[in-house]
Amino acid sequence: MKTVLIVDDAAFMRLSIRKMLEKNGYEVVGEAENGLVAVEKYMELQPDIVTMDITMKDMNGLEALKAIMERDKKANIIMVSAMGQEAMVKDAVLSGAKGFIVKPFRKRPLSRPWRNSKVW
Amino acid sequence: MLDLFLYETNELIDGLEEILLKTENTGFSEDDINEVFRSMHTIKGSSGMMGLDSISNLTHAAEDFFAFIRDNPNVEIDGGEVTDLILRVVDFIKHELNAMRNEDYEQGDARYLVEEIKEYTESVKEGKKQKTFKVHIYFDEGAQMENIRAFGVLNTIENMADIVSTEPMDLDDEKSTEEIQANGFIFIIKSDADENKIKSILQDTMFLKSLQVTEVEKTSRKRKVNIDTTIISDSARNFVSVEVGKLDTLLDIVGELVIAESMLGRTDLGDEYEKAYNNLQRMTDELQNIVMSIRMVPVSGIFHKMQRVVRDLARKIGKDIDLVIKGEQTEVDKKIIDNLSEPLIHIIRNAVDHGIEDANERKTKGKDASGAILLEAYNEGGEVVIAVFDDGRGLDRNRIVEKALSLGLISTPDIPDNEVFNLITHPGFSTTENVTELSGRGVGMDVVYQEIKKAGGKLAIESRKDQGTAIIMRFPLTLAIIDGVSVSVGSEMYIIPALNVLEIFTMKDASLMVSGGRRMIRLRDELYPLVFLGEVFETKGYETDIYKSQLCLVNNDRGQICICVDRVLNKSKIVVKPIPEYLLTEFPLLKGFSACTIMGDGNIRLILDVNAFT
Repeated sequence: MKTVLIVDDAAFMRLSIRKMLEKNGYEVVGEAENGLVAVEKYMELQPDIVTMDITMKDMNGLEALKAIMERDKKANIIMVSAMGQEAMVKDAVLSGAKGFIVKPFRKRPLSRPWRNSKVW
Repeated sequence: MLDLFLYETNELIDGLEEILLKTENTGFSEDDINEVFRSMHTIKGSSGMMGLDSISNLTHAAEDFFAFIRDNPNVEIDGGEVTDLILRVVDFIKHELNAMRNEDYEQGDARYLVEEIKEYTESVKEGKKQKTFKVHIYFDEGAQMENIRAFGVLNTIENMADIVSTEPMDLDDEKSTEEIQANGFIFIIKSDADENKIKSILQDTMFLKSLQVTEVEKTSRKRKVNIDTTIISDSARNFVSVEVGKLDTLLDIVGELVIAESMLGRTDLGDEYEKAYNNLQRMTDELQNIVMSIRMVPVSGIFHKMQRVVRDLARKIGKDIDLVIKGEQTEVDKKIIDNLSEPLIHIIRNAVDHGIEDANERKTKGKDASGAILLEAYNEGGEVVIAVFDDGRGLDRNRIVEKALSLGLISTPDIPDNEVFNLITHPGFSTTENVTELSGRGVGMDVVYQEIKKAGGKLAIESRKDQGTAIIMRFPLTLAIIDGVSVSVGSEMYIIPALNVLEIFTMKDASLMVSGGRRMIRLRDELYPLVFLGEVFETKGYETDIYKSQLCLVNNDRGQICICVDRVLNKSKIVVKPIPEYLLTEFPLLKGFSACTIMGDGNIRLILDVNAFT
């Protein structure tokens, strides 16, 4: 079972992402409410996948992504973006994010996004 | 000095472009390589003399490359790649040549391109071989921000492949999102990796619904298009190259004119006066003909440019299209040629972009996978016809009618095909919702129509569903001197261009009737709207009795009309002069005239604008 670290400053979002992931057969091994904690937890838990919110206090998602990529080039980080954050997402992709999902999630949000992949 | 450099370099560049486009199809022959090498060498030399380092360095690098393939005839090269690269050299030089005319000209930076050529030369030396792939991706429905996803895909593949083109082209444009949702994301790459390697890397893309990677084989080349070298590039615009034979004839005529003049100067001429006068008249006719013929340039130069337009766009959107050129030696007045380029590019782009279907669609229709565009010029009845035919999907009659109804251009869907197709020349008319960048947005055939009209031409559109579309333009042979029919109306005399006059008759052969509140002339069972010229122009003392007048059947943009005048006088050659702008604002009635001319007796006569009447 793939392990996931959820990074989001809103507890509600963390909970809904957790529910969706668990329903689809992922194991959520940790949660972080900002970028600083995320980097720390990533190093500690070494999860297979990270879902990374973009707008957060104390190190935003983009900075956290860069910090993690610097420490682990193979990290699989997925950005969680809101509509209208195209420029940030683009920056994230250039900095090594493996993909992104857009909230609010439409139907079947996290069920099949990486079905063909060996990584996921 | 600069002029000569520009002229000569432009000629070389045009020649180069022509060879490159030809060889892309046929491969480089030994002669081609030598020719390209020589051209590069010459440009290198003369630009060096002019102190133009960037052009000089660039051509030096290109020269080295061609020297290598000349000396190593067995080395394998991809004609398409070489053409791409060297065309960029050509474009750079063209751009520089144009910019040089400006006083604040500064040399462009060619270092990047120079590096690329050097790298390419190295890779050819090492014998590396890249393959071309077409990738077609669909994302899951509801994946959102598809344009950024596409951007991510390109970012993933970038370090193992060169991205040649993408469709949609501009991922920063939010409209591309909808396009990707509808048609998927297509891109062409060059890579030395194989199909499976590319697939396995793209497989990891999130929300990937389907992925298709196909190797693009080098397109088979069936037809070869030969075009003779001619002038015309933007910075050489004000030059005309003249056949030496024509200059010789010109000199001969001037010589004879001098003799004729001295003959007429004699006082004891007597009976011989008429002979001398006739002689002079013959000379002026010949002089006029030869000067006109010098103004005439073959359309080959501008046709040749279209080769490039088709090639670039077709490659960009991954279509295989052959441009066939016919009648490129047909000559047109220089002034018309100068105005023809823009509309022609527009028409050709439309054909490539919207007219011709992609290979799959063509196959299902049972057509040849590669599309064909025919660009043709020929003379017909004192006019030059320039026509663009494509074998694509044809215009969608129903959609045009629908749009025209919604715009209120027509009131009933029940109108003949040719009128339907002409509707697309109406300002703001465009049925294509997904207009691609190259074909322009929202502006289309109306601009083409205006430009052609400005150049003195006419436009007709024919189309058949799934068989293709033909855009046919007609231009007068020359704009400066035309045949005119002089007519008298009351105290005035006007001129109608002879080209427009179909027939001259009297009421003996016709009858007058009223239809829809309008006076019509019935001639051989056809009805034509009647225009009383004296009435329209409020001319003093015109003949009000139509049964004592004469009538001219005249054709114009919209059809045929009958113009009623007092008398038709004669037909003669007239020199067309524009009506001064300030007069047009002063006298609104002048809007019925297109130009004026000065007659032999010194009087000014106005030339009727037949399109001003309905």
